[in-house]
Amino acid sequence: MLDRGARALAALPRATLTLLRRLVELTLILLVGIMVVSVLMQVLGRYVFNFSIAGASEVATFAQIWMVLLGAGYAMRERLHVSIETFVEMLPVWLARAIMVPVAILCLWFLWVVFEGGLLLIEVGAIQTSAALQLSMQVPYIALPVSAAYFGLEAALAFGAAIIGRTSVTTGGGVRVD
Amino acid sequence: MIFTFGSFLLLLAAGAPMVFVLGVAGALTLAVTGATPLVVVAQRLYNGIDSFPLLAIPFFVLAGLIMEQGGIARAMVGLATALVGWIRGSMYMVATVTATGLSAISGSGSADTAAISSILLPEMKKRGYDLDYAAATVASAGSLGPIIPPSIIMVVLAMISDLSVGAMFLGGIVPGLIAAAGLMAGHWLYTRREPERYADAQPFELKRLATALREALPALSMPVIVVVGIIGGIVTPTEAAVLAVVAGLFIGLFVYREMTWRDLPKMMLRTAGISSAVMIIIGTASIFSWLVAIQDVPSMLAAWFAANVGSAWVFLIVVNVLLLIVGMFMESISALLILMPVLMPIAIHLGIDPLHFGVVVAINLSIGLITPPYGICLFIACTVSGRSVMQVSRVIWIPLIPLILMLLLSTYVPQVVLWLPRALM
Repeated sequence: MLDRGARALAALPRATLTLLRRLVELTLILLVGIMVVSVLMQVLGRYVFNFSIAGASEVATFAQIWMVLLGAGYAMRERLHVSIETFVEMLPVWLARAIMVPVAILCLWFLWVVFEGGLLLIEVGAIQTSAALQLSMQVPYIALPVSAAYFGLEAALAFGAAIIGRTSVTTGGGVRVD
Repeated sequence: MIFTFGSFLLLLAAGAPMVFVLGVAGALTLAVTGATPLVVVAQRLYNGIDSFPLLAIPFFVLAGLIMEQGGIARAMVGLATALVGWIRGSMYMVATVTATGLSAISGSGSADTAAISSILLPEMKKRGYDLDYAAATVASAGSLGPIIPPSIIMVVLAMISDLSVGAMFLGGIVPGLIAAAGLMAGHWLYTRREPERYADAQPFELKRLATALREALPALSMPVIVVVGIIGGIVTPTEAAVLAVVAGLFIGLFVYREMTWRDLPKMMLRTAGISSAVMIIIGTASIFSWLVAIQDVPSMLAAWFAANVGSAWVFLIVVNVLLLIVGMFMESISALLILMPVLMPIAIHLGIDPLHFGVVVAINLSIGLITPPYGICLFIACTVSGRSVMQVSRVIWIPLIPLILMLLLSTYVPQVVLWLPRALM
């Protein structure tokens, strides 16, 4: 009985992580949908219904900001971030892993800076409103700390796995759009 | 400064994602100098991605995915076969023409290469074509992707250098078409050596062309919407991209029926992942470029150049060579974000038209997509064909010749680039 309880408790972080990732995925799909529909509305509004929908491009831009920031964490998990691995491929594995330690610290520090800065911007955003929709600027600014935290989690998991040797240090260079 | 440069090199060497290489270097510089509060990091990151024109990136990525999975690429191959399949070395011609058509949909050289590789390379193998040259052909055809509009490289370039995306797109059309013609001429000359190997060309038939055209008509609506929308100035490039997505979805779901509604969420998630990975670099690079700008690096370099070199011609040669080398080792979006804030002010200082310079840089980086050892289009074509980069590199110089000639033409005869945007805008 106790054993089963302990096991359930141990499985809790993994279940939470799965749930969180699922939530992020659904949000990202929703954001892409919002972007497509709002820009489409803008074109249709101008040419078919003959009036311009002022807020459409603002909605699309805010959705883009959320998508990019939140999606960066998802891209970390899916190993989509572009990296140049020419040099690290030439290193012995132990050295490549050892170098990852200071690298991980620097990267996580950077995300911490974004997190803290984001919290400050939310305070500033409380007294600002957006140009077209008069929305509180907190709406887009919240994406900064939320995403920095999620990105930090995925980055810590990815770097950690590489450092302890669970996964390879190289990621195949990421996905390219050029 | 040493600290910043050191961390930049350490992260670069350790193979850390570019988003961190640029972000950490920027943030560390601020932290070490201590003159500016660190909140600037979050602020610049936000400003870097708070841009309506950048929305074109996710939309063109999505259009590219639909093009690949919705049967559009396949229909284009059919049309290209009826159009140029009668010329000697027919499949090389078909690959080049198909890629030219797909270039007008996706905006990414690697997406175009992936789409035509998977369809055409197995067919070329079956017909006994020289597989190394086939891979070189497909890669070089794919490298037209970011030259012919739409182009993600151009969207980013326009944003960094305050240019019109539409004007840049128009500037790429003439050089792109010259390059396509040059590539085909190169293939024709190459196949002259072994005419018996390339005897598979079918004589031209008007009836076959009519049938292929009818079948490809729905697919053609995608590039037509993008190109006409942008040339006509009816819609912005971002809006054209959304219209292409909607048209592509309709075609994939209801006309060719190679896609189902169930594929859609997966494609949207992939779009979000791919676009975020690129666009977050634009965000962190804007910290970096802001630092470069406030320390007045570009005007110092521009003054040095004006005093010591002085000639726009020499500068352009230096840039041509520099970008070809950078393109061999670095992904072009990161290269743009690091180099353009420095190069563009020098170009303007030397009296070079910014639009002309921007398009030349885009062409330059596109050629970098097929130069060994790390050109991405070359890499994709090699993976699909099962040949090694070394093997294909032995023949890649053949299609490189027309591409480099086109680069030189566009660089030193500015009208090649500027004529169309000036005539239409």
